[in-house]
Amino acid sequence: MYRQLVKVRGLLVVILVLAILLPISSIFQSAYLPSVAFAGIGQNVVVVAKEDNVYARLLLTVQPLGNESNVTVVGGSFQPPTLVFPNGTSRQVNSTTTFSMTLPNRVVFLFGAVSASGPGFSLSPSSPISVQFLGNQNFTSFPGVSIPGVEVFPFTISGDAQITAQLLGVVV
Amino acid sequence: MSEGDVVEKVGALMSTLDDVKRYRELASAMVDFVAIFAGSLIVVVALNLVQDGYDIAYGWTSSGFGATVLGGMPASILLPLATFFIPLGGLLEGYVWVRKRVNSTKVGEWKGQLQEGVPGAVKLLSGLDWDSVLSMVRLSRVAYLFYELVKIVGYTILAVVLLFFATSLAGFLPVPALFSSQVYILFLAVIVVLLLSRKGLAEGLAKLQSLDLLFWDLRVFSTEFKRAEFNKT
Repeated sequence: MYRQLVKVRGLLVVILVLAILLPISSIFQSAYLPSVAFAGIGQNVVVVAKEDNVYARLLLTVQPLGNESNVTVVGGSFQPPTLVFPNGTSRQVNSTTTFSMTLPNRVVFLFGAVSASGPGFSLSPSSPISVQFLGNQNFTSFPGVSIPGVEVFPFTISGDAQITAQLLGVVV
Repeated sequence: MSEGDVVEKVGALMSTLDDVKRYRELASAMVDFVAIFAGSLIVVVALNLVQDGYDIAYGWTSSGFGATVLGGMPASILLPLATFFIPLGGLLEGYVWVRKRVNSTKVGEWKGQLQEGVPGAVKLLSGLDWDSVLSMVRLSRVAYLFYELVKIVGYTILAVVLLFFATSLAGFLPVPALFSSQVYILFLAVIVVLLLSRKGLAEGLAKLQSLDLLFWDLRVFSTEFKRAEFNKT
């Protein structure tokens, strides 16, 4: 009888550990941008957004539509893609390149639930990170977004390319 | 009632009590089963936490343009495989453990004594601790119900994981607008499990009913047996 009680107590501890771990696992969130190919005139933007209390890592892969890809640009000449980072620096991409970036959190805890949406992003407490693609846009620079508690990172790409993005974040 | 009938009936009773002993062992082993399965879930959740934390801290190898499986995340297939196989292993290990425990229950020790005929049968009945027997039958009913519940929950979890992988890899399942995909998968899993185990459920209900009857029969019998003249000598 005593042995059985000890066993039941052990089982309760195991279940308690599981009950603690399961909500912790929900602090990790992921978002994914499936492969998109584009060519021609116009700006293409990968809009990455996150809430202030999220520490995230972004992997953005850019593949020029040239010899490496199986997509052929018909009509006109091939334009090598140029990636403009949110801070304004730009880089021409001549071969398939994966950019790995960390997007640090600005605060450790966010008071209240933040829900926000705008061009190319939609955030809510259940999905505090977002990555979307806006193709063939007409602007000189991506309009700034100033929503308290939210950060938006536009990655502008011009030229002929195929892109994909993976975003993994942790709520802190 | 002839002597042969008495021996036969006592034999049937002792055999049923052996079954009850097995159910009691089952009740004890089910605690182990749940602990083993919960332990495997803890390992999976911990692995996922460590992997996600490592990926955020140090990055991961992009699966690039082929990353359509499992929503594009994560890049490595090892973690989804571990997430699938570790709980499955936990379920199997738990099942093997429960079977081992139940099969190792000591039964049939009374057979030798019963061969002595009616005196042996009376000796067997006199040697029974009726309060403990009744409490064992009561516990067995609960154990059996618990076992059936855990079995259904286990099968449902297995079906959910299998359906989740099937839909993730193939994406062929039509999802009605009424349901989100996860709710749909859970709903489908419960329906499939209930349909597949309907025979077992009916048998389980019959077994519960027979345990119920056994409990009341034994209660009446034990009272009469204690009062019997030959038992007082």
